[in-house]
Amino acid sequence: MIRPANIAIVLVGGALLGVMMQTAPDYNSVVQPFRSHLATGETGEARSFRARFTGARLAERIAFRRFGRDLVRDTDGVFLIAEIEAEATVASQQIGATWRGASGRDYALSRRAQGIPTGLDSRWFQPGLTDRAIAVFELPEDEIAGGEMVLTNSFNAVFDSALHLAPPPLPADKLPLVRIDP
Amino acid sequence: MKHLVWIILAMLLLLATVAIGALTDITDLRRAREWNITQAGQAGAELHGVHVRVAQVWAATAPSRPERAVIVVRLALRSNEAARQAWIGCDVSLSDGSGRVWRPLQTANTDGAIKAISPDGESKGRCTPVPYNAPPEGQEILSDQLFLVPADLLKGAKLRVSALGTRPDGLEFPITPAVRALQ
Amino acid sequence: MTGKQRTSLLQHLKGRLAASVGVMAAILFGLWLKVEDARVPKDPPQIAPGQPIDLGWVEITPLSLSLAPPEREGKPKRLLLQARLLNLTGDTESSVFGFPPHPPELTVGGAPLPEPDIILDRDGEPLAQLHPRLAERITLVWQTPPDWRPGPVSLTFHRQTFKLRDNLYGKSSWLLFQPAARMSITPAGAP
Repeated sequence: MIRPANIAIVLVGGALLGVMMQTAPDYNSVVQPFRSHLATGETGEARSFRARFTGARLAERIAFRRFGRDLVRDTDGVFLIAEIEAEATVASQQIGATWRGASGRDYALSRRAQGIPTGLDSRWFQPGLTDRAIAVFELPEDEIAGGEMVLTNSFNAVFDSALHLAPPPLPADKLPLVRIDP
Repeated sequence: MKHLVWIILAMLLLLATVAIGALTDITDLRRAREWNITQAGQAGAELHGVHVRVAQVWAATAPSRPERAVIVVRLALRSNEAARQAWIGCDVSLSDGSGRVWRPLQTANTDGAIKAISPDGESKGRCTPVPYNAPPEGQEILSDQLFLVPADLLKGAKLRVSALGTRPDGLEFPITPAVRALQ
Repeated sequence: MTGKQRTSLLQHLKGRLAASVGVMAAILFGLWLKVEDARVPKDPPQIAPGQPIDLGWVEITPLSLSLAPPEREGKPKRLLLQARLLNLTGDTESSVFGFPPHPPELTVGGAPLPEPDIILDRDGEPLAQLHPRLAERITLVWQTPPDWRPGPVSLTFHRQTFKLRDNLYGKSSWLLFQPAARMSITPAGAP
């Protein structure tokens, strides 16, 4: 004979398991970098570097020279040219950047602007020396206001620090063409 | 009593699983850093069968940016081929006393910069224990590495040499470069 | 027969009965799944140029297929598919046709051609990445086989299945590829 107490135990157990299943965070939200959010102009301290978001320009087209060829890139969105000041604190390293748009989407550094002079993708930051670099993103215009730049170690930022830097005051107008020179 | 045996067995097996799983991590960790540093002098020292010597060190500063300096280190390796093959790569870094580490620059301009700084106007290329143009046995393999560092490192720095095949063992050389100012 | 024996027999029977009902239900459910599987058409829908298709990572809108002269003297002729590509994910993607990449498959005379080059029309360079919400015009370039005679060709588009939470870790993952659409078309410019 089944006693009511036994039924109760099974039911309570089932309910507890259900609650655990529903509230357990999924893999993707657990395996994340450690974020720190920084207001405009603040210097962020990551585990192995410190960085500041110093300036931003918007452009409809960018021009630069790569491997002896002059290139002009246009876009349906807008080019956001972010200026960064950073210093490694532990060892010589590279820094990776993405733009977390206003809608929450992540925009990687534009590879159409790979190899630009002083570009973040080719910069190495040295301990004890503050260097500047520029990061070029290509994105829809409405992703800029309310977005932030995320700086991480260049490879895998999971379980490492990530700086979420609020942009400096953005220019009202986008420039028709920005030439990126060394 | 019988239960206890099973419980102990389960715990032992669990420990064995953890140990086997940790083995690769421990090997990785040992190979990640120079845990066992041997101090070497002017004459150089032997590291896993390869004789390593710091042939020359130059440094340069530019008056426009007095806070930074570049250092070129010319390294000489000498050994038979088997020992060099066993090195698997060659990692050179500069460090100060406080644990900060500078790695050699490897950009498109590095070679040109080395040629501009070294008095003989030559660049011997990156450090590799098995270069394609290896000199005959017994002769030294030269390499040049360029470092961009804060100027206060010119007072004295430590050069570390190791390789994937030698770590956790590594060599450390004291370095005091001769400085010349670039125009 | 005593009352106690009868009860235990009844209980015994009850257990057996429950087990058989369960097994029967499982078999019937499995059968029904098979029937359902057979009921859904296996062949993906035929589409016409200009119709968008969801491929999982991206939405592709094939626009036109044309035959182009060889790139250089001595090379085979090329088939060019103009298309519009829109990233449907929340990240910039560099593997727009999934991983491992399954770009649209072009079949001539029953044999699929090797994978095409993906060119970003804006730059005339290989497409390196696709940003969300920024649709791009691209061209897929196939080299035709040397013995190929211009005529109708068939294109198959594959969709990769996305699973938000897998059963083990609750990790999101991209799984199998399935044909999402087919297009039969005669390339423009063919004699």
